[in-house]
Amino acid sequence: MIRSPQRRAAIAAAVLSIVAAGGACAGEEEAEPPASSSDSQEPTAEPEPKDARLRARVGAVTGELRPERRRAVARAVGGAVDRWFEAAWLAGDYPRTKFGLGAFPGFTREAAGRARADRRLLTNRVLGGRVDDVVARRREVVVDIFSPAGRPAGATARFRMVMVTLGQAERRVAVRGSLVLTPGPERWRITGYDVARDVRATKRSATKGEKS
Amino acid sequence: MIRVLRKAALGLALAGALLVVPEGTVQPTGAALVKVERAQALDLSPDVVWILALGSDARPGGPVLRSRADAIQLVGINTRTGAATSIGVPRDSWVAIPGHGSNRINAGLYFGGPQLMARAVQGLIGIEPDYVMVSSFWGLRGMVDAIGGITVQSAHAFSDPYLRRQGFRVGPNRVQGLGALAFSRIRKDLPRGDFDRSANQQRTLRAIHRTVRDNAARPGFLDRGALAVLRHMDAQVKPGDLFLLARAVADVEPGKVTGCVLAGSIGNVGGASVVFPSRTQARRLGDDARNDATISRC
Repeated sequence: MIRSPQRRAAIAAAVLSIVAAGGACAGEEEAEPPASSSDSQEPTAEPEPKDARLRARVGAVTGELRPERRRAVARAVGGAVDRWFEAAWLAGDYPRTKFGLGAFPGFTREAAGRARADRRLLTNRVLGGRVDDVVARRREVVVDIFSPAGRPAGATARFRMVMVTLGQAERRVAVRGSLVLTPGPERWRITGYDVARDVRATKRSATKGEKS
Repeated sequence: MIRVLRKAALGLALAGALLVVPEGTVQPTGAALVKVERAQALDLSPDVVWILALGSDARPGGPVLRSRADAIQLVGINTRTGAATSIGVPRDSWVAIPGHGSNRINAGLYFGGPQLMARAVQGLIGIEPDYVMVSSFWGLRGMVDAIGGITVQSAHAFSDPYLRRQGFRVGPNRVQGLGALAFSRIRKDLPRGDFDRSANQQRTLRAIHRTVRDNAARPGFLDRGALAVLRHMDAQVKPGDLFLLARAVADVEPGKVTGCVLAGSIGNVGGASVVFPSRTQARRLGDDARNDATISRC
């Protein structure tokens, strides 16, 4: 994602004001560091907003797999999921209206075709045209590994990604669910998905009387 | 598409796993008044997977894959729509068994194992199974015990002095492994004998499926079931395929499950009681369900 300095500043101000207005959901963002030490004041400094980094960890392992291999699988699977986070939700030139097959890197051809048909839920298509930018607040992946005979044969990535959209449609969007992956010759392939998407207005947008 | 015939243990033995307590996981976002939309899909070629589920009558120590098939259910799963169907074949159905003339269909397993059973069923219904899955009596019992029991819906009140003295009542019956086995095997008290027994086998599969579906979200639950199939049954299927099959089973929507038992007339061949199956109905059911795993009418 490429952002100009002016745009970064505007985004920073918007993010900070959303946080200051209490737009974050109580109990969900507590683990994150505060975005500003002076949240009761208008932001004067304009720190660059930081997209949350991916946190991938090993979940349930069925079968045998050495610890270092488990972690390697979690990294690889997490990376595959994160590429989808970026292509379908976070990256791109916003306002964005195009969410074609390119939004589904790493999906099998069949899965990508189905995902494209479900792109209302698997991409940022609904809000994309009314958004100037998107900031990831949380990217978490827990990887369950199926590994009979010491070789990974499948993985289930349980994920949660939370983002804030900025612009005409300011929203807090949570995408969660699971992706089913199988190992390919070079990379893990996404062969199935079960994805839910929650959208809620930020307090700031609610105050402004925006439509959801 | 070239279909490769594979055999493994009873399809729904994918549930044969110890229940696991969910470990620390991603925190749910659910909250009141939040609109939740959901999309779901699984890429498992072909879109409609056909599994021939057989219950072998082998006794402990006997050859499970070369005994007679006491239960014969051709199960279709549509991974695109979440539909599933089952066509029950009475075990005494008198059919052509390739290379062995005509015989009861359940002898196909004895003569030629899962591969031959698949060809015999294909000859009758016109659907080539993608997988053949065979379970013994104790395999079914152990599987149901492992998932903590099931609730079967009985259409009849019936009992058996040896298999289940207390019997079953009409409506829901909570059973463990032994009860599930009895529910799937008893036929003498049933009004239509083997036909009703086949219907009860389908009810057992539905009850297992409900339990699998209810537990599918537990981390590792489906994987443990798939691993149990690989380790404890004669599974000759790629682990990756089994991994996806387990998810296909869990993704089936209970409201989209249909099923029929193949009808037929009772007859006699060489002094033995047999069923002459309705070939017309068999072909019609096959044609109806082949592409979408749904039967519009029996």
